[in-house]
Amino acid sequence: MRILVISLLRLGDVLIASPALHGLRRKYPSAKIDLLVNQNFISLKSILPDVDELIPFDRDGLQDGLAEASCPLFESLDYLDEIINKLKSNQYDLVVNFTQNKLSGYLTSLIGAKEQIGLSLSANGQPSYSSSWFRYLNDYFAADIADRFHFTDIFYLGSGLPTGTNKFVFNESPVGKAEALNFFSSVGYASGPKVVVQALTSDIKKTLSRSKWVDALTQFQSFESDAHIFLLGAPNEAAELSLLQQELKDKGVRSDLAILSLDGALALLNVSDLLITGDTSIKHLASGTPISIFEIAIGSSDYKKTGVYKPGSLILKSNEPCSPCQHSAACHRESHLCASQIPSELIALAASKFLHHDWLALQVLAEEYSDCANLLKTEWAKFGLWMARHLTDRGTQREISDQLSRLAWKFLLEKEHLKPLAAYGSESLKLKEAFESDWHPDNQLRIKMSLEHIELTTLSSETRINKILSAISSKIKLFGSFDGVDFIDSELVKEIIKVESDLGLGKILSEKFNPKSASDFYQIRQLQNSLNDVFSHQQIKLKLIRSLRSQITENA
Amino acid sequence: MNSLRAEYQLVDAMRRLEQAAEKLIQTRGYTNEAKKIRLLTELIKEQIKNENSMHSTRQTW
Repeated sequence: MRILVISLLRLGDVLIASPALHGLRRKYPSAKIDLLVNQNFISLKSILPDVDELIPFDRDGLQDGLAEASCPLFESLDYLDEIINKLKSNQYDLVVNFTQNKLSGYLTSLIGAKEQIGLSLSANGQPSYSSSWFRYLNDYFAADIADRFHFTDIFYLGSGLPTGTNKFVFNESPVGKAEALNFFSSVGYASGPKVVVQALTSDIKKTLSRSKWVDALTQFQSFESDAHIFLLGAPNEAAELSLLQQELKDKGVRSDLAILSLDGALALLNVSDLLITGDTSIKHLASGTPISIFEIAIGSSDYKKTGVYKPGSLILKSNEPCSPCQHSAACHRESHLCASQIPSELIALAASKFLHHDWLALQVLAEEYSDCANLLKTEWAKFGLWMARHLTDRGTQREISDQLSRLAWKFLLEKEHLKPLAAYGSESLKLKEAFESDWHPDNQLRIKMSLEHIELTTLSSETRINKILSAISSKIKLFGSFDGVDFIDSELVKEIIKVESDLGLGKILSEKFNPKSASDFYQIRQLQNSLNDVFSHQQIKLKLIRSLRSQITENA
Repeated sequence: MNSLRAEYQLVDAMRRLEQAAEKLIQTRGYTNEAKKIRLLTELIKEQIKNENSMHSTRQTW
């Protein structure tokens, strides 16, 4: 069997798919698995044990031909033909597209495998997904909905892989090991905790200022005087990191520059104790090592989608309402507030407590600094989803409702609710177990009341959505056609917006129609489909709530 | 985007590609050729928006 996985975005996006690659390898142990990546990631082969061949996508070659006015258009077309014909000649049985953009959609469809998972586009731009998870990624993710899943989970579950085997797996190469050994001997490391700091990211909005790093690491060193700080970076970051190193030295903080390749970075992470990082590919690489990971999520970093996946990791997130901001837009505030408002002493204290896995102290810190930042602990729940739980919000009504909501989406997307013996009981039991440590026997009454309240609000939403669906169906039956008829009157618009607001759906429903003009057949059908999805979601959530309540009552 | 000239050339290429795709669809329908031209158009859009930047802080050797 031959499988092609397409991952044509950034390095972090390739690494974040590692559990799905590992899962595919476990499901198809004798298959040849190829990975199509951008040309400059071709040497990832040494660290990806589940991939047999990395195939380069020559994006530069194609773009150079297109950008030159003197170059005939058909040269690029011919080159693209070559690339596609070469891929087609491999006669893939399965193509899995983790890129989820139009370019990859057309490419997936042109390669023409027997089976395709992920976005595939026809010539007129019609999408197909072959997976509810990838359709969800397309339809819901771009909107700012509350129920967001980690990309790792979406890639994993969307590939049809069984719950429970999603972990990051990377190979430490001999070259990388040698690089790390050379590094340690050159810096004269003897003993003490090894703390790796990835101070720079590829996006200025996600990067703390140099002065913030200097303050934070100076304070950290005062708490952890025997710790060794290694400033990790790529060769093109050496100059910037040298400046940071000099400023630390001026403050009496010793640090060493660790300018390493990806292989060398992996080897360093494998033997170190703590990584402090922004939203970087190094963070995802570290998830496949024993190192403790402390992520500082600012700017456009959306921890719900791309947070550090490894369970037991720590995420520090700004409380600024604009965070996370839009990925490619410049910061719209007068200064980089989401970064500057995080006190450097919080970074230092959190890193110190986390180095010693003192979660009680971290909880105290979280409460003390809750006005400016959140501290979250990552977990992987038995019901098959990654979670990042606020240290100050554990076991609250909001948290229970959020997790029920996500579990209900999982049910819907995996069509579990359509099975004759849908696993409401066992899945709600897993949810109960996930929260059990926070649900003391004394809290039973509070939890029951929370569940009652969640049930009431869910019922109310379900009723509202049912009314909207009935109103639209009645109009269709009455008028019989869509010409010139205003199916979505102002009352319905209000109801739809209320549903979006109550359920944190962004503009998922209201973007399907234009409130200022009559909607056409396609728009109404799109709206009905989305409403049906949301309605089913609320119904599933109700069943999970009732199942959970009965389990708590049984154990009372 | 390093220069306005480069951006102008890409925008011009995108315009030519979109016109080519439309002509192809009108004359031959929704074929693989049309898909390829649309793929190339997306490639340019990514370059213009700098959305799909290959820039990574990590070089792989």
